[in-house]
Amino acid sequence: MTALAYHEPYRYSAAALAVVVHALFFSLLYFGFDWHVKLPPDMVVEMWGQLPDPVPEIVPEVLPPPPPPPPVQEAPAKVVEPVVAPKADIELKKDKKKAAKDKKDAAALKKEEKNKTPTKTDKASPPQPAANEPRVSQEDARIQELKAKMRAEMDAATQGEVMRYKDLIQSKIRRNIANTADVPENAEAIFFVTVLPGGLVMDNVKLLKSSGNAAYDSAAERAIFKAQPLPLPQDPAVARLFRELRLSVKP
Amino acid sequence: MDLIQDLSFIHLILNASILVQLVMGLLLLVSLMSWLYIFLKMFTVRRAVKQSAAFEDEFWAHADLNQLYQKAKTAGENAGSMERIFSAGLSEYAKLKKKSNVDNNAVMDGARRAMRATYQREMDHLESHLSFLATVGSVSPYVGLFGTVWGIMNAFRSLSNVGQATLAHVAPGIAEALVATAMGLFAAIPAVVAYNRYAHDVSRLASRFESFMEEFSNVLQRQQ
Repeated sequence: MTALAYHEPYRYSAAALAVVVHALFFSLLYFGFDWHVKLPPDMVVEMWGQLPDPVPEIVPEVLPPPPPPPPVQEAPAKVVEPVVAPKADIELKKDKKKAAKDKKDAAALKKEEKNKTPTKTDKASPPQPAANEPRVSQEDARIQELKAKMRAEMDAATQGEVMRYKDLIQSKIRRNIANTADVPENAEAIFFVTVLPGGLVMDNVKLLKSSGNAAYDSAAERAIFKAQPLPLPQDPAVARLFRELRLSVKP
Repeated sequence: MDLIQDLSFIHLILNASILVQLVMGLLLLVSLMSWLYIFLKMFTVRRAVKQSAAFEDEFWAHADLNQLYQKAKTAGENAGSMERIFSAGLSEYAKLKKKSNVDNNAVMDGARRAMRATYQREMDHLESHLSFLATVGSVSPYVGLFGTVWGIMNAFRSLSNVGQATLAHVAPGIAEALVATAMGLFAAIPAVVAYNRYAHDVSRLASRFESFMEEFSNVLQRQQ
């Protein structure tokens, strides 16, 4: 009687139940959580897809204004002009460059000019230096006229803003190009750039047209990233035009 | 999947430091045992309550003590706690009654002592493992927390070698460390709930047994 023998028929069922509970718990942990890391870029792409912008129409207008018009306009006026026109264009670029890059010392510039002179002689006749300065001013005037016309065509205020920030962006990028010592003057690299609101540049920068010099291309691409944040207009409606840019980078 | 980090659950556990793995293993073992006892106690306590109710009904319905005694004897180890108390008291009473030179008070005292002893043993059986549940309930959160703290310490220590600290460097370490806390809590919460529930049930059974002992003593006294 005092010998204690307890009948416990539940041992095995209790053990089985305990195991079942743990299996449930771990399957909850395993399936209840999404353990996989999701990558954010997919979302970003969708966001851009939502905004239908008139960008492609406007950007091309902004980009290539200087080069094409001069021959068309000059052709009726003077017969000699078309031959000299590309030369003058180069001079103009040179001037712009001088204005932009104040840091570069005069010696380097002279060297560049020496380097360039052979290319010029290939293209045009020698008697440029005397005629240079008046032509430059003429070119300037013509470009101003053109710009004025375009502005008149478009909504004047918007177009002005676009042009202004276009120039700001290009000059900021140009300032960030590291070394352009042995790059030909007329080199031009064209990039496709997606700009986020706030002026950051997305990683998917594409080279649309190479300048012909790989080192310059990569320097220009780096400069685009270094120039972040790009200057963007305050007005959101105008800033929207700068979402996707065809950026041409010249020395 | 991408190659950078795939935080699968098994991956987390396998990549944890050895101490954290030990803690997790200990917690798993403890949790298994505590759930085993939870179910075991659930069945035993429920059966004890049912058997006591059934025996009480039978006892008060027809008070033929010999018949009840025979029934308890045949039940053997399947007998309920109250049945055991009853048969211990009755057999001691019968033995003492056979001796001629024992007075009535001594007979009653002997029967009460026998019942008291069986009662103690039954209570011990019913309360067994409850203290284990109480210990698991109070300690395993700390064990889990220890594993977590250790894991996080490691995660931050490895951060010191990296120049640019990002959340991605610490996040996997912290996640794996927090698994230890989750396991500790998983072991502790049911253990605490079960302990409170079963302690309450057992104390109710105890008071039921005691009142039965008193009443049965009265019945025995009346028979003299």
